[in-house]
Amino acid sequence: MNSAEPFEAGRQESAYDSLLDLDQAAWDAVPFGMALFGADGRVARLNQPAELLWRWNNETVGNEKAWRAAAGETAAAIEQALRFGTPIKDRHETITAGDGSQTEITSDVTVLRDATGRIQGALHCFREISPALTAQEREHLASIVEYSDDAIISKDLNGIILSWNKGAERLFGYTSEEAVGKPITMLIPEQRIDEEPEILRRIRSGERIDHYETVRRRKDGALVDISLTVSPMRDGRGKIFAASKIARNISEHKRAEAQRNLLIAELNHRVKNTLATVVSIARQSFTGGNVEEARAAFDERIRGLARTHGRLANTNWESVQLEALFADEFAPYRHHSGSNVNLDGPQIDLSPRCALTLGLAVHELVTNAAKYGALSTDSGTVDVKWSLDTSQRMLDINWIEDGGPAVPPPRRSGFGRLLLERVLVSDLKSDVRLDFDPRGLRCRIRIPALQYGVRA
Amino acid sequence: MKEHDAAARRPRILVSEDEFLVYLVLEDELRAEGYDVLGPFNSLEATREALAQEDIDLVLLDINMGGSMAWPIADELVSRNVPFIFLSGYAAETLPERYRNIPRVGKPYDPILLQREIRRLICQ
Repeated sequence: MNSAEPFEAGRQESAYDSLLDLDQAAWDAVPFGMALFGADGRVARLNQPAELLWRWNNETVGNEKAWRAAAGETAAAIEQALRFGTPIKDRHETITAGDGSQTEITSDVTVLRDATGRIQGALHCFREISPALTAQEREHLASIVEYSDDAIISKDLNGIILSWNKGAERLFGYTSEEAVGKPITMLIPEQRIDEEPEILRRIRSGERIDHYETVRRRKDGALVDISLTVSPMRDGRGKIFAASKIARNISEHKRAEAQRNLLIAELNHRVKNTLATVVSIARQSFTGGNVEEARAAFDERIRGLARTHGRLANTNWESVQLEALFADEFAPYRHHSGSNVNLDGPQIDLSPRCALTLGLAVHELVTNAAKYGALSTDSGTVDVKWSLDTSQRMLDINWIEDGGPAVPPPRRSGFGRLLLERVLVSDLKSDVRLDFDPRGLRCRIRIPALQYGVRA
Repeated sequence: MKEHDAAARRPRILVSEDEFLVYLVLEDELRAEGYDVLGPFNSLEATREALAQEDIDLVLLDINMGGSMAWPIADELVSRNVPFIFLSGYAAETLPERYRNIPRVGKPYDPILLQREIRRLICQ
């Protein structure tokens, strides 16, 4: 209690007195340095954070001379406050602690008056500023920013670009000279222009924007998908003065994602189509006749279909070579020398659709030859010759069996004939001629090459 | 099927499907139910041509024909008020919004479901 001030009942205690009366524990709990000065300019009280900053304690504060020398500007400021009642807001100062070390602080001085308005003292609150970076540290950080693959940009609170790294140059196409000083809105497509005021509003209120996926426009006009992280930048006193933006190019990622979704939809479509085909093959395979034989034939057909799928999978579903299609089907029936089967023609790549349909037909031709035709005897041969007639743009396949038993009368209802005479004709617009020559079956298949993605 | 006197012709269904083997199953099913089946039409052009020339009661429309999507045909059918059913291996969600209430029968077809949809549309 100030002795000059008569105590009156019911009268409110002055701020200065309350501060003096507070428990030391309460003082120490405050997370910044506090020093209370009396009207005479002497330090009346310190809290623990202040002691740590000054590296003094309540016992040594009485050393007025030493304190003045250490506090420098602060001491002068406090003197001013006590004499003229001028408070200090948010001042940046350097203090020299008891051990001679220097600390950067921001300080506030509040003038404390009694009920009559007389200056009773001053409260000095101060907080250490994180130490400034050394030149080397600065350089180090700058080089991290400069060589980052991400675009790192800073802009002021009005959205004017302050800095622009190499990553930003690569991502957006503008050089640092072209970008610095310009509004950030030059990167924003018209339909997204509303994003910027919202980003700035959030930054001003101290919020951070994390991995926001959006689109920006490059210098060349192209749109680029980016993931944006924007953080407020604070000055030494904690005041927000700018925003740092890190933009990562996610176009590749987006493209891959879209591609994957497309592939899944396409895969679904193909699998279901294939299953529908299998249902049909089953129906055709099990119409009348011997069930055991039908089952074996069905199994073989599905395995043939699977082989073509395997060939397609090997080329990322791009193509199958015509020769491979025949070679796969002939494999079980070829003599060790291979002389009973002759395949002759240029390298031809078949589109997936063409390979799957033609594969089914080739399977029927080969199994028919093995059961009834040239491959049912040791002496029989099958010659398959193909060519790509570039002028007519036709793939011409000639199948000739020789040396087998006499060709049996054609089975009108067979699945093989259905495939050759109806499926190939309908699905691949092919021209198919079957000739039941007594020497052996002849089959000529002509497929419009361009339309079905057949190429040499 | 709709009640019709002896003189009335059988309902005609046009099938647009680019795989003959798949078409064969549909043809079997539909003929067994007493429909006239026209097909297979395996391209957008062939389907459009057939639609221009024939009197059709219902269309079964494969969504993907030789890599082309059948939307132009679907739009034409909507505007001409010809009932149709999508045949598709695609999931319903991948269909454009405007076709969400068009009946869709997935592949491989469930013949019972298909017949039920056909009957419902032809009787309308």
